[in-house]
Amino acid sequence: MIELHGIRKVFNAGNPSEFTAINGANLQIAENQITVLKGPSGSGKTTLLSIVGCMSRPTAGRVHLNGREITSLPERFLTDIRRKTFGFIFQQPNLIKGISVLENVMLPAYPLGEKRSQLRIKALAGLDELNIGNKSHSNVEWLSGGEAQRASIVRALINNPSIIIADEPTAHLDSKLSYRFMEIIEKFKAEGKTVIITSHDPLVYDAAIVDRVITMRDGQIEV
Amino acid sequence: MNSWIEKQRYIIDFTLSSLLRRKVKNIGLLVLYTLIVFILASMMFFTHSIKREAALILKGAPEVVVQKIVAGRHDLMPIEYLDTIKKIRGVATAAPRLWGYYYDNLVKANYTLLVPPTQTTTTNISRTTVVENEPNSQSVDLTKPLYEVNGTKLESGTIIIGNGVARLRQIAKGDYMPFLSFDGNVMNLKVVDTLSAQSELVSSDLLLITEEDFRKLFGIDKQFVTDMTVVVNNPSEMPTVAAKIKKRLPQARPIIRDEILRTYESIFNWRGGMMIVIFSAAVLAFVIFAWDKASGLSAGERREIGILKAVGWETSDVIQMKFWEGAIISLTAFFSGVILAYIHVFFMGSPVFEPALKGWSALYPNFSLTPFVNIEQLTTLFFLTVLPYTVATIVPIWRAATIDPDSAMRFTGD
Amino acid sequence: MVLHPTVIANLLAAYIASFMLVYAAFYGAQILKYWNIQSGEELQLILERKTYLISTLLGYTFGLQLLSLFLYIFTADSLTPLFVGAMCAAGTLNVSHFGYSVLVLKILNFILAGLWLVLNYADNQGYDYPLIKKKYLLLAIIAPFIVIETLLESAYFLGMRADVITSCCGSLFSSENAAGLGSEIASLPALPMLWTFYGVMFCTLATGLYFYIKGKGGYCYAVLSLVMFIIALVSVVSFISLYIYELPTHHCPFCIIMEDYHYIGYLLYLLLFGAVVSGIGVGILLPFRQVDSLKFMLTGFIGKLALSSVLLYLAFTALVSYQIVFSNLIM
Repeated sequence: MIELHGIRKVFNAGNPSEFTAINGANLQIAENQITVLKGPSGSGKTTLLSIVGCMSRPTAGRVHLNGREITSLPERFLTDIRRKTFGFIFQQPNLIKGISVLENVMLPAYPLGEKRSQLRIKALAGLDELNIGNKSHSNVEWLSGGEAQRASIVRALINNPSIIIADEPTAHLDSKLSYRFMEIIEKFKAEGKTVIITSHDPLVYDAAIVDRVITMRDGQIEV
Repeated sequence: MNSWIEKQRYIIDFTLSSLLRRKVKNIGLLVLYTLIVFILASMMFFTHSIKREAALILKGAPEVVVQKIVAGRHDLMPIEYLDTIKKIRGVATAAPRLWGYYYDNLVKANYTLLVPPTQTTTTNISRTTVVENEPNSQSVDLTKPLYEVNGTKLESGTIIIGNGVARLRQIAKGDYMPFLSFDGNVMNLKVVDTLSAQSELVSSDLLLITEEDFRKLFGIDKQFVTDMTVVVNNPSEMPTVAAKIKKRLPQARPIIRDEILRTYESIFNWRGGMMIVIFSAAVLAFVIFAWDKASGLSAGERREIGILKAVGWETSDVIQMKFWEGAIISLTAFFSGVILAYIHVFFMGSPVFEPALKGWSALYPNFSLTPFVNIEQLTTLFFLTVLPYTVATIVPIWRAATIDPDSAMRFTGD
Repeated sequence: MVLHPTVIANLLAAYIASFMLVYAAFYGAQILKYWNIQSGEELQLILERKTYLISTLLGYTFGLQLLSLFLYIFTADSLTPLFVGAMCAAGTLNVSHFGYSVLVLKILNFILAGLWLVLNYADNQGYDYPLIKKKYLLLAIIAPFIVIETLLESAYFLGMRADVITSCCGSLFSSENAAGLGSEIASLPALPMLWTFYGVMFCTLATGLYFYIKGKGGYCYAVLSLVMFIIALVSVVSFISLYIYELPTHHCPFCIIMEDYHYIGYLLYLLLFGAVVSGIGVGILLPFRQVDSLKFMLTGFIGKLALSSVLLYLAFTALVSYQIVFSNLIM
């Protein structure tokens, strides 16, 4: 359960370039549901998502995660919560070039200092599940768009998070791959995970598996 | 604890692979860094071992030398002084020396001319025959002089020359060497031997000559000698003896060996320090370069750090990564620089600094230094190179590490 | 001044340490002034980021302080040939009044920086920056000490004049300075000191263990570990050095870090420094056990500090005893 109360996010406060990305958002996101944030670009979806995902702190307002107030936590605690609770899938696969798919997938687990052999098994199992196990040792440059995204999904799952956050996941995928992506999302839900997606792709927000669609405009949530 | 070690291993692995991914940028930095370490290390190794060499050789020098000073200048010394000195309590022996410089117009170099010391154990030597003409190789061994003669006897009309002189004049055993004496006559002296290479630092420009020839060459009367050496029974009494000499012979200037050592030490330290001051500009330039490299992150690197932070790396994890990066670069550069300098100074004879550090004479000694490196030198070197680099990169590292994690969400193009 | 590469390295290290700390203290002051954990304003976010910079700087300063302490002694040792009567580092440090003051300040600053890191570590474990004000107050106290150290060190090195030959009179100052620089350090009588050392060490270790097991007497241990540290340093001068040199009169605490004695001094001093920093750290952290956000971890951390301090002192005692038993010197 994630609750947002009166969230405001201001960039460049005090400067002439000051602008308010989110202005007074209140929101509750239920567990084990698929929630889609919809709205035109610049409406503050991504900013809200980054606040929900503990990536940045709101200028004002409170965020509660499972009843715990996390707004004023120091970065190192926020990061710790983030890497254990959230898995991120970005618009771009955001894989690091020059190293293998396997290493990319294992990256989020490095700071936790897990045993290497166990981590490897986990990563390989994840890759196999999304049918890219045979690519585990190739460099990411050699992956197709769909493979790269699946690799980034495996990476998001490596620390077994309970909440998956996806920012415009289908923006760079064709319809076939987008449907494939939604199938994967459906599987997450079946496993009991919470999913939060931002998208302006009807293929996503009109999908049958989506439980709730929230529309945003000009930094505010439309009721 | 285990997970901490495992974490560091992961981070180091990742750092290594990301260093290798940016070979060109890092090799440039590494080469420059190594060069800086190399130059400073060569300089330090060189001055340090030459200092040591000098100290080792000076250990064989007389404990006290007494000169006569007239009008603030070193002057010839009447032989009578010898008795006064010998009578001072605490003096074991005292002996006169004859030496001087000769400027060779042909090769534009100064030689040091020295009459080898003689056996002075016999006490019945009268005042006028104090300096015997018979050089004795035995006495050379006994008093452990600055140079070594290979047992050749020096007779009137012959000389023994140092290696530097031999090289410069391109002469060897058996050749004749012309000298212009004080009254304008030419003296042809035969070279009977060259000095051993062991002590070339001091004997390079040395010429051994008989007393007779020496006096003839410079026109010095039998009443005078250049200076006197004194051996003291108890080394701790040296300052007292020196003070007594000064008191009884107000015109004399006693010089204690330790003071020569101290002066040498000081001069070489000064030269080494001076070189570092000169090279500090280079170090500074390097530090600015390192600062620039560390703060001017490429778009690719910013993106990478953004991704790392987005997927769950914390600021301090990134700082740790950058710390290891700096440590790997610094240690690689430091050790390669030190090893290259070692080879340069001790195996190749430091062609780069020789003229600057050894001396001003035209007769460069040509000798190989004994390898000598200690922890103090390495620590100093570490402080002079690694420390500035590390400090210059702290703030850029911190800047890079505090990139917003949500920046990864805003990457749209590839 | 004496222009020597090692002297330059020393001064460089001192200036860099001062610069880093003053820089850190500057931002520390900003944090003290503007800190507001409840705020999500950009200023607060920037300040929170600065804390990373400050801890990194302090971490480096701590390492630098330790290295420069040894470098300082090395330098003093390598400059001995320049001064009449100086036999080792002890003599060179006597060249002016600043020599020993700098050494004492170096040790003090090393301990202070170590304590700051202990405090910082504890603070980082709390989710609401529980010790932030105390931490930056301590930083504001350390900074002037480092600056004073740097100034004194500069005065010491820049004021040095080597006793070299001048053209007018050769050996005169040798005799002027005949009394010279004492290379020997005033030392307390060896045997009584030996008993004091073992007696106090026994009390310290016992208190430490008692605190570790029962959780009581922590302040007592912190004080004892400081007292023990000083006694240990005095003991090094008074009798430990004698056994290492196997000479009944050489009391120098510096020669033991030289090659001739297999660098054993490093081990001794590192054990001692580690023990005192973690020992005093116990006392520094004890008052904060009741802080909400630290309750769960602090007791464990203090216990670990106490244990490591006790173990380090134990190792120090073992090493000293080994030296005494296997020394050829018999008193």
